[in-house]
Amino acid sequence: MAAASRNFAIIVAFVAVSIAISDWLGAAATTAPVAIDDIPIEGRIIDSDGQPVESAIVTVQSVREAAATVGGIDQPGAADNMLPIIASPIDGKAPGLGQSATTGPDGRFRMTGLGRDRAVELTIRGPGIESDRIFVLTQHVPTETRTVSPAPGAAMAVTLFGSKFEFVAGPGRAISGAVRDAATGKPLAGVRVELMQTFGPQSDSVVPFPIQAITDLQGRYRLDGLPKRRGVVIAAVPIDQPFFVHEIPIEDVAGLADLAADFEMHRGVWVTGRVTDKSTGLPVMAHMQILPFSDNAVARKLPEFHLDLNGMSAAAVPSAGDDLNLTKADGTFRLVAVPGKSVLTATSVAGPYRTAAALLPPTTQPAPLPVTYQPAANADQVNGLATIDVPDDGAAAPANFEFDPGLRLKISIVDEDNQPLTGVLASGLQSARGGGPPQLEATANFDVGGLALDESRTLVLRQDARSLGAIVNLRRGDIKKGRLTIRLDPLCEASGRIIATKGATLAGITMTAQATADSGAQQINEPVAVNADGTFHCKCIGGAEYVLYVNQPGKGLKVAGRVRFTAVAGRSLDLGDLHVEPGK
Amino acid sequence: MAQVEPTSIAPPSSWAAYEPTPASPWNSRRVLHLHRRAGFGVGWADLTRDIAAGPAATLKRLLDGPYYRDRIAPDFESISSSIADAAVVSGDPRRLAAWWLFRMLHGPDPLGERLSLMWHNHFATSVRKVADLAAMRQQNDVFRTMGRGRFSLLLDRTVRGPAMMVWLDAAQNQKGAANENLARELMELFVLGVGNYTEADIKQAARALTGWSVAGGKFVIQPETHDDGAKTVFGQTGPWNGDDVLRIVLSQPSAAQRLAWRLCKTFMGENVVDPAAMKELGDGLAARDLDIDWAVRTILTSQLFFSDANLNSLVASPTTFVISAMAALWTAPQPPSSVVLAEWTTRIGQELYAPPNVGGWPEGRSWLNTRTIIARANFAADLVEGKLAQSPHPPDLAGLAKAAGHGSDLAESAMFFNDFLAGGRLAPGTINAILTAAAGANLTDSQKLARVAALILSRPEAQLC
Repeated sequence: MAAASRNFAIIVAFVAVSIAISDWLGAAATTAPVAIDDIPIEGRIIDSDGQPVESAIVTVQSVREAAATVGGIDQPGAADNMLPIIASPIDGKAPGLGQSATTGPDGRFRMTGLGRDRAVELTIRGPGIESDRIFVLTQHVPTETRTVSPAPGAAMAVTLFGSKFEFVAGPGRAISGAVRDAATGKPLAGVRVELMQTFGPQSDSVVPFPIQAITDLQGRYRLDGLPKRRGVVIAAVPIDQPFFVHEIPIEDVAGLADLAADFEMHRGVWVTGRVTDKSTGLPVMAHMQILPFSDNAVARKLPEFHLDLNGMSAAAVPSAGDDLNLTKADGTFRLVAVPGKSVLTATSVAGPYRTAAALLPPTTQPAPLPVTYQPAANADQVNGLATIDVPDDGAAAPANFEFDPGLRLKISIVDEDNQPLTGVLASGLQSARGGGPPQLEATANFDVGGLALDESRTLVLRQDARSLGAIVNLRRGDIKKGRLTIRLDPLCEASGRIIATKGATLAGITMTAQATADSGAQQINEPVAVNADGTFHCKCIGGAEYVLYVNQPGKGLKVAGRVRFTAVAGRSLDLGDLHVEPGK
Repeated sequence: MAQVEPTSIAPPSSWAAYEPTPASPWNSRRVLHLHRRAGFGVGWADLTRDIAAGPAATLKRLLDGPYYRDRIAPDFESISSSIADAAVVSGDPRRLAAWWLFRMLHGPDPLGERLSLMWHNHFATSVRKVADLAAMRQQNDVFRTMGRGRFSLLLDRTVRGPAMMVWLDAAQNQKGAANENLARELMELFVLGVGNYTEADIKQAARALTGWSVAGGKFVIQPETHDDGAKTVFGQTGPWNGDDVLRIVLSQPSAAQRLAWRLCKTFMGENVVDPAAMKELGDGLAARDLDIDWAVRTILTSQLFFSDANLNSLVASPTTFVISAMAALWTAPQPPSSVVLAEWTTRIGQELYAPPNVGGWPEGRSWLNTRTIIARANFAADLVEGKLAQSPHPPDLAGLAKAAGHGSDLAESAMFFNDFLAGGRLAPGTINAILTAAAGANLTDSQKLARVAALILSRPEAQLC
């Protein structure tokens, strides 16, 4: 079972990358076969001054199929959007998973039993270095670094190490301090303190790294391997204690001396409740979130809801500790709420249910929700939504949710030859408006849930490895019948060339092809690969009318040429030249 | 003592080769001078070796390189490359600055790094605008690999680099919508200098440079945006393109004089080179197709370079100050953290890869102001306390003084550090005041010595090289 998203944006980014890479992998991501032979990983860890790092601990976190060689990065069409290691991890039985090695005086370590042609995720911790994670291919290939775009406008440099490699660890430092009750000054034991995502100079798409500690009886903690850079945030996450999660930015103090940071924690009010399935009465595994109204007077005074980062203050609910906001096995939950008004949301983690938006009267869609602290509540992405008004005295009324499973439709996917097709990326499974990131379907048969007979729902389906796709509007008859076979047709390949004129440039230009599904609710965004010479191409789903958007960071552009086109399945479309010039 | 080996082509008269004399002996002061100007300082062991080897062998070692051939690990370049790769991946410009400082401190060719720093200031390009560490590294590598060859080739590769393309908005320079930044700086800063071109030359050259652009992090030529009409640049008319502009600009007489000025500004002190000597150097460069190596050898082997007037007559840049001090004093078992050193050069006023503007750092006396002087003193304090490494460990200053034969007492050690760090220029009264300040505190002998060294390093005399 997947944990609820700690950071939705990051998850979206990674899914976006997955979409992009599956095109390049040349095969659908499936469970890997058991390794029959082995290429050992032989690494050397040095610090940023070229010195070997002794006693560093290297641990295998995950194992995936490499599925392609590093040389494939340069394949036509791979563009800059490829991150080949973000494919399906092999399950917990993968050979070599969880093993650790310790570097010797020369900084070297060796690992075996991980198979061949695998992408192995390693975490590295050691004295004086930044804790880090890297990806190593069990292949005899050179180390390769690529800049990838996990999401529009974002850039990440990703290095894929060959099986014999040298890794330069950045400088790290420790941070320690105490966690106390702000009201009484008493230490708080059992609080989880952790490194949150870092906001680097060029990218804020850094995956949270598992550097954690639990406060002792004196409320003290210590984190090692903290990166030495700007934008580091650490968080104190109370476990089973009625205090708010507290995130604080860590100043990048000059030098490498250890840092200190104390947390002053503020007490909230427990809100309890239960989430059940309306049809069965059984408990539902759900992710819960409390979003104070933006004018909530108590929240306004709490530093926990106003993180100052790089001179900017964000009015937002802390994202740390989100993994704890799940219902228990009996469907109950207990969350810390701010006195006053908040929105309480509940989102199924286990299976499809009708969305909160779908349950609202049609005339009110999109739902007129109150303005809250970020992230804004989205009725299309949650299954339950309620306004709560929590009294100061700690006696909040229980909040219960009954999730409506609605109707289910059994989908079978086939290719042009009517053969079952796996590895489809599908969106629209949860909600008429997409309902979050597309899901990768490992089998050719899956369910669409949370439906109603009168619902307008569009499924967007792609199988990138085979370059197939379809956009399907579910009809009342299909839903009533409960079964539907969908054939995916070859994608439409659209290409053209972009020419910068009148002072415009190609530097940093990105393009997307956007279509709107027939239901009118769901947007389809296709990445467009733009080459250095301005030529571009993308693969679109037949039948949809697309609009090309050209973007350049910080600049306005005026675009002339054929920006609208209707994709035709299996066809190649030459869109000709697009001329861009500076615009407003 | 033997005369310096003659360079392949006899130098002009103002640049006659250095020959030690009783008035201008080959001693520690001159060896230190050579290393602080042509590199980034020197440790005591190398200093004594060079004194013994004499000027010819020392200059040959420095100029023909690699100077540190004895101590360089076989895999140095491989490790250096890995560090640079990791710095680029980190997205943190400070890591890339640290990599360069790592090379200055541990690399085989201090003169090569010194020239790279000179070109970084000459072709001043800032990562703040370029925002592409791979491009900044590529430019840095061009400086390193081509910084002693023909200036025309260095100019060509630098200007065509993606960093310069972005920095000077080359991509915005298109037919019918000229952006003159690249053409202007090419003439004003890179090749000719103010007063040696007209506004018309810039406008026409900008037209010729249209079509030069950058895409996907690489230099590209876009024929669609190139103005292929006739242009007149320095009186020459034709359908010129970017290559033609570089050729025409480089052929102007002032190009050699500008290059001579840059080299003298780097290696020679204030008011040391008179106009006639500068012109001679420029004429020599013009006659040799702007051969940088010839000019560097001519300067560094000259009597003028080792003249009393040139000694301690230049304010050390923050980078030179920091790395020279490290080379002189750092004996701790763990090497210093180059990331921490990068922080220090920034605090002292030189954030590598981020010069203040197209003109680069003004250098000279402008390096010193209240803030940077205090920062230099604070750096000195951290150095002698060993705080620059991951695991703080004070350098063995007493052992250093003792190895130099000056470690019998604090006063004698102070005299040694005066010679080693400040060119022996501190007055006896100043040294006494330093000794008093160090002795007045309740410190161990090694702590007192550390304080003496730090105070000497903080003196104005120690800021000169």
